[in-house]
Amino acid sequence: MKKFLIRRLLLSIVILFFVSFIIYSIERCLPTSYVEGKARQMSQKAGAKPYDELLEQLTNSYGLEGNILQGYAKWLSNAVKGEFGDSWVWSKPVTEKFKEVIWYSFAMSGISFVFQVIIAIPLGILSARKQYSRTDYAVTVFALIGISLPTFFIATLLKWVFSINLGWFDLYGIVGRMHEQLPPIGQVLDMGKHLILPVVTLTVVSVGNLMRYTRTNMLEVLNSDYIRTARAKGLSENKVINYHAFRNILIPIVTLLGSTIPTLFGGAMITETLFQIPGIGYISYMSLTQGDVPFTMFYMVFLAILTLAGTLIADILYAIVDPRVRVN
Amino acid sequence: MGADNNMQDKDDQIDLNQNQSDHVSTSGTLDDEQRVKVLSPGMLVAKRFFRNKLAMVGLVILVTMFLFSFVGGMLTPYGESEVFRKKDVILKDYAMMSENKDFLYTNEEGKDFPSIAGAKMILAVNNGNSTFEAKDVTYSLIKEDENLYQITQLTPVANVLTLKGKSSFTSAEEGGTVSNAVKSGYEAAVSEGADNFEADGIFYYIVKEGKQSAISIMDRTALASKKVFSAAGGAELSYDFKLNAEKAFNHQLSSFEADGNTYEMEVEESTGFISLNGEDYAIMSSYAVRPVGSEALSLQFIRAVQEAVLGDEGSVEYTGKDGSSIHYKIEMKGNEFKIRSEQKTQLNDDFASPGNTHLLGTDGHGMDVLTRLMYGGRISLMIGFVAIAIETLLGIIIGGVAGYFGKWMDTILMRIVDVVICIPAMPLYIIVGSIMDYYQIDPRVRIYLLCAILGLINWPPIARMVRGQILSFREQEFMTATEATGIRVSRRIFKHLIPNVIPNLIVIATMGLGEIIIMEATLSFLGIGVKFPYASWGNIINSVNDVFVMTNYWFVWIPAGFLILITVLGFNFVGDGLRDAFDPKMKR
Repeated sequence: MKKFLIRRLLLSIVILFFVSFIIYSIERCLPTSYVEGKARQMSQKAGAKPYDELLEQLTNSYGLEGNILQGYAKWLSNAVKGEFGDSWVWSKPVTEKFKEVIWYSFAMSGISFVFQVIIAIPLGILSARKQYSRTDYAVTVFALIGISLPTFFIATLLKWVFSINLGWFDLYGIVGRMHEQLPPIGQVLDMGKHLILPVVTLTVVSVGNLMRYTRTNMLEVLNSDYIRTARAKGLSENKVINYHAFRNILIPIVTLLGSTIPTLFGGAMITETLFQIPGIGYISYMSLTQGDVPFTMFYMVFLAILTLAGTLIADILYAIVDPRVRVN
Repeated sequence: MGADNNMQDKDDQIDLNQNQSDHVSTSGTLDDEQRVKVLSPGMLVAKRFFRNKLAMVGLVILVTMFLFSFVGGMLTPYGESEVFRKKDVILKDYAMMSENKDFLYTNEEGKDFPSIAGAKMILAVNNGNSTFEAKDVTYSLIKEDENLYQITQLTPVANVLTLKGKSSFTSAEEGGTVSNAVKSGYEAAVSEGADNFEADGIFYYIVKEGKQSAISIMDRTALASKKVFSAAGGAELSYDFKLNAEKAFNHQLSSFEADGNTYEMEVEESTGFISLNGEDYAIMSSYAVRPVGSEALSLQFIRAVQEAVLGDEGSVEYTGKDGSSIHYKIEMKGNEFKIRSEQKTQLNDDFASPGNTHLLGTDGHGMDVLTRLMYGGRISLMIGFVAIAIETLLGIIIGGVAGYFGKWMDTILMRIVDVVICIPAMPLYIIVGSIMDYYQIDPRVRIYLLCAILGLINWPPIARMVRGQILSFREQEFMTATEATGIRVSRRIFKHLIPNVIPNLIVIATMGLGEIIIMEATLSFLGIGVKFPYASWGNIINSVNDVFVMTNYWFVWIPAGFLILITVLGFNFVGDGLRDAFDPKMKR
C-alpha cells in the first residue's frame, strides 16, 4: 500500500508538472501588449506605482521577458515555494484571496453534496428494485432531465420563478441588504437563505448522475449469484436488500463519493457566477474574464490537483472498501 | 436488468411459438413459417432498442429537433439575422409657439442698429424718454403704438438760439448754412408744439434745451416691434413693409401698400395674415413659432398652427410639400405651446410579443425568435456532431494504439490522457474564448475553432474506454487468429478490434453529444462561444443577463432553454436505450 501510494504521488507530481506547463503555455498565448495594457490600467488606480515600474514588475513576476520555458521555470520555482504572486484584480496575494473565498464554495457544494446523497441513493435503489415499473421510469426520467438541464437555464428559471415572480429570494449575492444589522444567528440564516437557490440548482444538475450510478450498480448486485442465494434461503426481501445488496453497492458508491469530495473545493463556476456567490468559482470567473494571470494560474493548477486527488482517493478507497482488490 | 431482459427474450420466443401454433401446417414439411426465426445480432439489438419506450421518446424528440432545425430553417420565411422593423408613432417636439415679449428690430436697408442701442432704447421706452444715446450716436424714438417704435438716428444740422421769440440759426457744420426751408419748417413746428418737421422731403427733429435747441436730420434706422413677422420662404421683410403692415394692423385696415405692392390684411385677434394677390405672403403675430430642429417652418404650417391655437384646437393636421399628411399635437405648457409631431418612425421591432407574424415574438435585435431558434439548432447540433466526431476519432486512435501495442506506448499515451483529463475544461474555454475575443476572430471561424477545442479537450474518456476494451479483446481467440493469418496491424486494429468497440462508442458518443451541446450552450451563454450574428441556443438565452429581459420577455429565453433541455434529453434517452440494447446483461 505504501509503495503504491508513493508511486501514485510521484506520478501525480509528474502529471501536475505537465499540466501546469500546458496551462502556462496557454496563458502565454495572450498577446504581449496585454500586459502593457494591464500595467497601464493598474497604474491609473489611486495610489498605484508608475506605469514603467508596474510593467517591469508584471513582466518580471511572470517571466515574460524570457521564452516560454524560462518563464515557466520561473513560475514553477515560485509556485513550489507556495508563492503564487499578487492577484491583478483583487490586489492582494492570490493565496490570501483564495483563503477568503474558498469556504463559501465549500459550504455551497457541501450542502448540495449532502442533498445529492440523500436524494440519489434511496431513489437509485428504489428504481433498481422496481425495474421497468412506473417508479423506475419516473426516477430515470427525473435523473436524465437533471443531467440534461443546462446549469444556466435551471438557475435562470429558479431566479425567474422564486426571485422575480414570487419575490422570496434575492437575485444575487450571498448576503442581504440588511446583513450588517442582523445578530450573528440572523447573519448565518441570511447567508443560508441566499444559498438556497444555488444549492437547489447544483443539486438538480448533479443528482442525476449519482442516481443513475446507484441504479446501475444496484441492478448489477441484484443480478448476482449471492443475492439469488440469499433469496433462495428464504430471507425477507428487506433483509436481502438492506444487508446483502446495500453493503455491496457501498463499494462503488463510497469510491465515487470519495473521489467527489476534492471537487467540492473546486467551486461551481457557472452556478456561483449566476448567483454571484463570492466563492472560488465566481472569483475565478471574474479573474479569468479580466485576465488576472496569477489567479488563473493558481486556480487551474488547484483544480488539476483536485482532480488528481479525486482519482487517488478513489483508488485508495476502492482498496480499503473492497478487500478483494490488490493495489499492486 | 439482465434477468428481466432475458425473460423478455423468452417472452418473444413464446410469442413465436404461439404464432407457430396458430399456423396450421398441412404438409408437415418445414416451411419458412415453421422454422424458428433467428434474428441476427444487429436485429436483436434493434428490436430491444425499439421496444424501449424511453428510447423511442428520445428518438422522436431527436427527429423532431433535426426537422425543426434543418428543415424548419429552410421553411421559415425569415432569415437568420433578418431584423424586423416596425413603424411606431413617436411624439417628437417639432415646434414651439410662445408669446413674444421682446422688441424685435428691423433695420432700414444699409443701417446698423447695434444691440447696445437696443438695450438703451428699452430703457428709454420704460422711462418715457423720446431720445437716447448709444455709442456717441443719438437716436430718437417715434412712438407709433404701444409696442411699435420707429427708431431714427439723429445727425445734427443746426443749432437754434431763441431769444425773445427770435431765432438765430447756426449750422452744425463749420461754415455751413441753414436753408430757409428748414428755418421756416422749424418755426412752424415750434409754433405747433411739434418736435419734428419735414422740409424738402427730409425729416428733421428738434431737441429743446431751454433757450437752445438743436435741429437734426432724422434717419430711419430701425423698427422696434413686438410683433413677429414670418414671410413665405423665410424671406426678409423690409422696414417699409413692416411699418405699413403694423399701421394697417393697428387700424384694422384690410389692405395696405408697401414697396409698390398692395397687400391684403386679414386680422384675427393678435394675428394678421397678409396676402399678396390672394396668396399667403406673411404672418404677423404676437406669438412666435419657432422650429425645434434645424428645419425651417413653412408659412402655411405657421398659419395652420396659429389658426389652430386661435381656434383652441388641440391638434393640427398639416400636409407638407411632399404630400404626406402629418398630425401634430398642440400641448400648452405654461405660456408656451408645444407642437409635437406624431411621426411614424422606423424602429427595430424588438421584444415584440408572440403573435401571428412572429410565433415566438422577436428578440432584442428585432429578429424572429423562432427563426433564430431554428438556425441556432443547426449550429448547436452541428457543433455537437463535429466536436464528437473529433473526440471519437482521437479517442479511437489513441486508445486503440495504446491498447493494442501496450508496454511503453500504453504508458506514455495513458499518461498523456491523465494530463489532458487534469486540465480544467471550463477555465480553459474561458481563457481561449478571451484570447479569441482579443484577436477579434471572425464569428464563422470562431464556430470551427469552438468545435476543435471542444473535441480536443473531451477525448480522454473515450480513449480510456477504447483502450480498456481492446486490452480485453486482445487476449481473445479471434485476435490470435488474425495474428496467425498474418493480417496487417492497422487492419487488425481497425477491422477486427474497433468494430467490437463500436457499440460502447456509440453509447458514449450519444451521451457525449448531449454534454457537448450543453457545454457549447454554456459558453455561448457566457458570451465566449458562438457570437452574434450567428445564432446558437446558448447565445439566444444570453439575453437574460439583462434582468429586464428575464423579467419581462419570457418568450425570448425560455423556448431556447427548453429546446436545449429537450434535445439533450433526447440524446440521453437514446443513449440509455442503446446501452440497454447493446448489452442486455449490462455489465457496465
